[in-house]
Amino acid sequence: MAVHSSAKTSQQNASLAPSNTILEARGLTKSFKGFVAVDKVDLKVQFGGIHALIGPNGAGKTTVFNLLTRFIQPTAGQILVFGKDITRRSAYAVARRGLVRSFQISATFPHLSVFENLKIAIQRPLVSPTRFWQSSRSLDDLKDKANHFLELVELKKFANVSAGELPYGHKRALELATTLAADPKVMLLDEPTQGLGIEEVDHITQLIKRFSKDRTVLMVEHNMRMVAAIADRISVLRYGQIIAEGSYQEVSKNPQVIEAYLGRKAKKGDPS
Amino acid sequence: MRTTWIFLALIAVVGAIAPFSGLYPLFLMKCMALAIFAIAFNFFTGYVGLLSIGHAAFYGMGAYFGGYAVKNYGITTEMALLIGMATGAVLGLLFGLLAIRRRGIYFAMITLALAQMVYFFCVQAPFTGAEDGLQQIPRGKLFGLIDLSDDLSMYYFTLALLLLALLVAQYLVSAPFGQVLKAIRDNEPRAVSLGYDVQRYKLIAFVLSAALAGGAGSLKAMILSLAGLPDAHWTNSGAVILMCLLGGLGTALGPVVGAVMVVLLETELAGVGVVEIGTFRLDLSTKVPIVIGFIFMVTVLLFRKGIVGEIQAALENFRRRRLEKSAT
Repeated sequence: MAVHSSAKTSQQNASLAPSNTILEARGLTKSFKGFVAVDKVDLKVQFGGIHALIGPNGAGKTTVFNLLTRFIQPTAGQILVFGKDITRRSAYAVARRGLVRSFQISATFPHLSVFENLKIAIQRPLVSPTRFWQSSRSLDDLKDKANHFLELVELKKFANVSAGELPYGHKRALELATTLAADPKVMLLDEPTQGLGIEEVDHITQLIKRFSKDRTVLMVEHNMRMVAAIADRISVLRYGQIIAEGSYQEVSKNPQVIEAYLGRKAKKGDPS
Repeated sequence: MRTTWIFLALIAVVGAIAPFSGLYPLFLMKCMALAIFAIAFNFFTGYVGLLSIGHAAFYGMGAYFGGYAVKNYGITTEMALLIGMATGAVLGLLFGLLAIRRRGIYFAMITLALAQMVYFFCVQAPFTGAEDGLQQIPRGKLFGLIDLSDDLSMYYFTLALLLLALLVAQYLVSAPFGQVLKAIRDNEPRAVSLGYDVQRYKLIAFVLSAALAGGAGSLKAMILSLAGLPDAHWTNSGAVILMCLLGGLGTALGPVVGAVMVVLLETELAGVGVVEIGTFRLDLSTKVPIVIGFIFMVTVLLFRKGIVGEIQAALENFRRRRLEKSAT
């Protein structure tokens, strides 16, 4: 539960006081040529634990993600990270503040090896384009760290394989490891289990659960079984608006959510 | 990396004995200056993945500025090269600031348009000598000590520069900087999400490439004692694209192989003259662009990765098959 985890972590994060809100959207709006994809969304993500953003197809979940990480420009509203306004910052600057996202379609660097993929994420604070002469030897110390992440997602034996040649499930695991290797304060995961088999879903779910212990995860997810299992807090989005928020129990009893989400699912003729 | 060293040594050895095999040093030097130009182009387009059709502007202006300085102020050879590089870098920064945020065809068109503006500047400006070009450019003295007016000394100096350019380009590509460039080329949004300022990376890669192209231009001006409008013309940008595509874009040695091929084809075809087969009569010396265009089409259709690229892919395949065999 969000309450539980924020109590647990409040001591370590006295600097975050007065509130434990790590990421906040105020009246976030995005319209595409008149179509309002995201409509005055207010969202508060508390420090620690897993916050899930769910909703039927086309509800605007990914657009919210793109807005929060500054990949697209909001039409109106504000985004705050640790209480600081980042609405006008560029995407890479937001990432440097600790908001690291993943993508719906597995995002790796296909022509780099698995090891190099992780290294790219780890080395970022140590490299700069204005020091283009910097040697790769100066980053040798990062090898252990990269190997640590490889072991975490059980990809050690694929270290020298091009990421593009990995099977899909491994690609997703690599993407997750890369996101984590960037040392984020908030991980934004866009459908991390999409397209995976049942065993792989379990694997990824456990990884996310483990990662979320001392950091914050905000994820978009369709797999309700997974959301029920690991999400501490859930926000439900419909037609670009937040219609409910709370624990899985609270949200799943909300009549509006049943109508919008589960009701629609039942209409498709899903007997179970 | 090891194969690159072997090939560098090979180029050094072949380069060292080439002038005694009956080939003219002047011809070889022209090849090498163009090879450096191609290395510069390949460093940007091959590793960043944006097509520049403006590199002739850097090469041409490098030739004019470097040549003008060495002719009128009697500076040393390496200073002239540095002036050429600085000219390329400044122009590259200007081009880059305007174009680097664009992608695909838009980037290509903006660089082309800017290069055309530079070309018309070269036509109008008094110091370039317009149609006549800048003539009788001396080669100066290397470090103020070694006279390079002798073709053979200039030849070995040029060979050393070619090897240096190859080494530097290879170093940058395998350094963290080049790794990030490859990552950006592979998946730009992902690189952004990991906190990389991708525009800055691309811009600096473009400026480095432009600087090297400018250096190649000033080297060419001193080799042939001439800097002229053809150096800055858009067809020169086209030629360098052709070289890299033929040799293999994004490979270490592709630009060198491509440059040698294009120059060889141009001179050899011009030398063949009239071909007569029965009543069919063809003057090849005037149809060089058609023949090169035909070879280019065949390459693009059959050897997508260019000559060096295809050889590399074949070797890679062979290695993998052998590994799989030994595994079973």
